[in-house]
Amino acid sequence: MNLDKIFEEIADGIKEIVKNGAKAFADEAEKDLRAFLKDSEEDLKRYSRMFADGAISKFEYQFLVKMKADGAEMLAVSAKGIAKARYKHLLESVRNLIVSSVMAALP
Amino acid sequence: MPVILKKAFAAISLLLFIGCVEIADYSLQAYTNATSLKARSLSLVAKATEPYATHRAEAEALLIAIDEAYEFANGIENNNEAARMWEILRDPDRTLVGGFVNAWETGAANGFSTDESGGSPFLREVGQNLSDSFDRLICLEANKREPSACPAPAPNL
Repeated sequence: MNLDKIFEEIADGIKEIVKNGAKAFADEAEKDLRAFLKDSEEDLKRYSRMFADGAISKFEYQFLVKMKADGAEMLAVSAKGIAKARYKHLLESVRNLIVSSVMAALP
Repeated sequence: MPVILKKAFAAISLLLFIGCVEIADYSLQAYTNATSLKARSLSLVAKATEPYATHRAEAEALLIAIDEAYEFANGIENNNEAARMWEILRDPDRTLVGGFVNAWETGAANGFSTDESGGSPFLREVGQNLSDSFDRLICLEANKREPSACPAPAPNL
């Protein structure tokens, strides 16, 4: 069993897993954040119009604005948890790669 | 130290490190709590043009179910984010489920106002925002099972 060769293969595999996994998550997180900001901006403008037109009361307007702040906190907490989950999956992929590479090299 | 030992040490360290990532495993119960309580919450919001007293029992049962979901999430090790999200959802001093029920009971006990079509612009917005918040929690639970993209916030009408 050539351990040097096995570790080289593992190192290459890890590089690929980390590169792909981290990029996919970073892209999605950025997309989520941009979508939330765009949606919030449009919503807040609409709430202001609705209040100005008398479609909602001042109490309702204030409630909806505060609701956007709570939504932002839900997004932030969720993103933190999802990052941890993605990281865990990524490390599990690395662990599986190590185990399968070593097992495959066994005589 | 020979190179081969250094590499072996690095691999073992990595394996030990894998065990240190602190996030709870996927739970079907947690996922089901989020999806079913989303549906019940949106159903209640749709009835809030009527007097709170008419739906008091349903509202109180929903809040108890959300408390149970919080206790379930909070009892799981390394589950801080999901527990925190349930805490925000149930808080009567905020604006999500607990806050909405509180606002209905104390600020619009006869029901929220309607427009000419009989619908409520306010409740439509509340429903959409609540739906987005629950979707965040559902997405977190789904990602514990496998990496999956979260749905974009639905455009409000």
